[in-house]
Amino acid sequence: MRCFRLKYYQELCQIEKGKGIRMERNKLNKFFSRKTIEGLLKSTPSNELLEEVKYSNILYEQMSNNYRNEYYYKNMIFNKLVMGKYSLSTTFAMSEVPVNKSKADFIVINSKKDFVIEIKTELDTLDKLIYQIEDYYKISSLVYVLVSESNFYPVFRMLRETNVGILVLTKKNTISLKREAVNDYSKLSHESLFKLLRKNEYENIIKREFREIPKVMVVEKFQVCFQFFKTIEIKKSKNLVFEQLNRRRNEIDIEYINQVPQELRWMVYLSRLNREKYERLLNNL
Amino acid sequence: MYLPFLRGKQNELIALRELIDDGIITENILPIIEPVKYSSTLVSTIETFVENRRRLVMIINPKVGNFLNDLDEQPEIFKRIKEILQSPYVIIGYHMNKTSLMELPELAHIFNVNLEDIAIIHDDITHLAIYDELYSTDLPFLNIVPSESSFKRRFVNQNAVVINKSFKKQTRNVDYSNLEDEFFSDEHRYYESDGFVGFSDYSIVGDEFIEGGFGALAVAIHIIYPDTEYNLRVRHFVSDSNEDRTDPAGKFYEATSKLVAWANDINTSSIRTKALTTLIRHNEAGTFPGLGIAKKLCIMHHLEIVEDLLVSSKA
Repeated sequence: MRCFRLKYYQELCQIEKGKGIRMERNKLNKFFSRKTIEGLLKSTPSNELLEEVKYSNILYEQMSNNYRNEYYYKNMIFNKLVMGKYSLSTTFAMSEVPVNKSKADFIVINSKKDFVIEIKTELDTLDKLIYQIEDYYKISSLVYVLVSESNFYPVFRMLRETNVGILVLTKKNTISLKREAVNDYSKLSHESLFKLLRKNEYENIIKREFREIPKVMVVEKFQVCFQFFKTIEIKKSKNLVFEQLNRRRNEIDIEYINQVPQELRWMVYLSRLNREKYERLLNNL
Repeated sequence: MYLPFLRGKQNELIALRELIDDGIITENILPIIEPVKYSSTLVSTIETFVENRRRLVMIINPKVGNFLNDLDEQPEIFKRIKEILQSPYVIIGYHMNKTSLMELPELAHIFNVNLEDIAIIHDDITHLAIYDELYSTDLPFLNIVPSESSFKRRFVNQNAVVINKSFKKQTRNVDYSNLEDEFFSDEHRYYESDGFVGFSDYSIVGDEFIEGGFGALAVAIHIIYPDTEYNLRVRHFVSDSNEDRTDPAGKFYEATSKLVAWANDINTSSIRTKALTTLIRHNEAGTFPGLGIAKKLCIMHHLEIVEDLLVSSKA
């Protein structure tokens, strides 16, 4: 009995202590970023940071109740879709990808499917949405918008005549599919697709499709490879590009990420850690 | 004497190291390094100066970057830096601040140096009282002051060097394409008669310190050259296809092609520095050394041009 009481008291204290570290919004934004992971990878992380990380689940809870920012949405997609519905051994996730004049919030890629998700949190306006969607169809045939409940109806009305799918992050923090996206290949652009790639990636494609990389000066390579790439049938060129992007998967994530608390996973994934760094991180958590 | 003020970023340090290794710059140039972080390049650069018996100023209380944290966290590195700073070729630089009355004598003790061997960097006129107290009898090795009349009046004929913001930094590289050619500096012509021992600026880097940074939309190459009156001007060569951040190699080629055309056009041997020749060769061979190296070459070119001017003005 005494033992039980002591334990109960300790738990109570911890909760009280956790409540004590309530954070301002801009601090929450700062905490849920890659800087935190960088801090934890130092040989001696600051005590302040270690304390905050200890209560990261409580901070996350605070966010889920009254401040669902972009990190919260992305982390949700990562946990529920990328890790839950799909799997890290087949699927790669990217974010903040420049596409024409826009930046894609989230791209999910596996061998069967790839799609772009634009996030509109309760804190966002819908001003640029139409232009952003137009840009995303230059690289993918499937585009979704993930919105808060408050943004659902305005977005639904805005996109009624389009092929865009709609997902809602409900108040209960589940992702609910409100409308399925329909494939649209008509707007794919060789240029936007090619510009997603790194040098070795477009060289891989050119080598495979044309047997060799043209022998030109380094400073001309991008342009010359692009001229070759443009001759590939557009749907095929899209598949080749996403096949390359999917190869950016970090195999080490599969082994370790389950040991990382849910609320930190997206920023850990973004940090692309190797084995040694994962070990150090898990030691410091 | 010219004192280029550099933030100790990797490519800025390598520029200095190579200029010394190649024997291109002499006593006419005394670099001031504000180390932004600890790196092996920082150590090897200082070592190159010491081995070649060439002096430099190294700031021990930098205002930007992580250098002091790096030292705090790693005692072995601190020991190494302390050793290096014992060399007579390394002049200790120090930013005057409100705690200097206590801090400076303490640091001088730690680094085993006399107050009159330190280069003092001023930026706030309200700290002058502290300076006067510390240097009531002797002058410091150098007084490095901003280009403001209150400082210039106070420090004329006092071992002083004025830092000018000669390079007009634009927020985006693309903005340089509207400028093309600008006045840079004529300080080298007048500093002595104005009562100063040297002149200083932030070369083609600018005074603002920006950590990291990511791929730019446009590639800009800044080339310093003397006009017929021996004033220094800066000419900007900017790439044309600047819609997105892809293909830096192609943009480098566009920018250097304009540089080559210009250099052939003005056709004076006085601007053909080693660094400029390297840039031209990259263009002719269609190679791309990376944007960091391009910046390094622009700094090297600037310092070689100033070295030549100072040598010829003495002759």
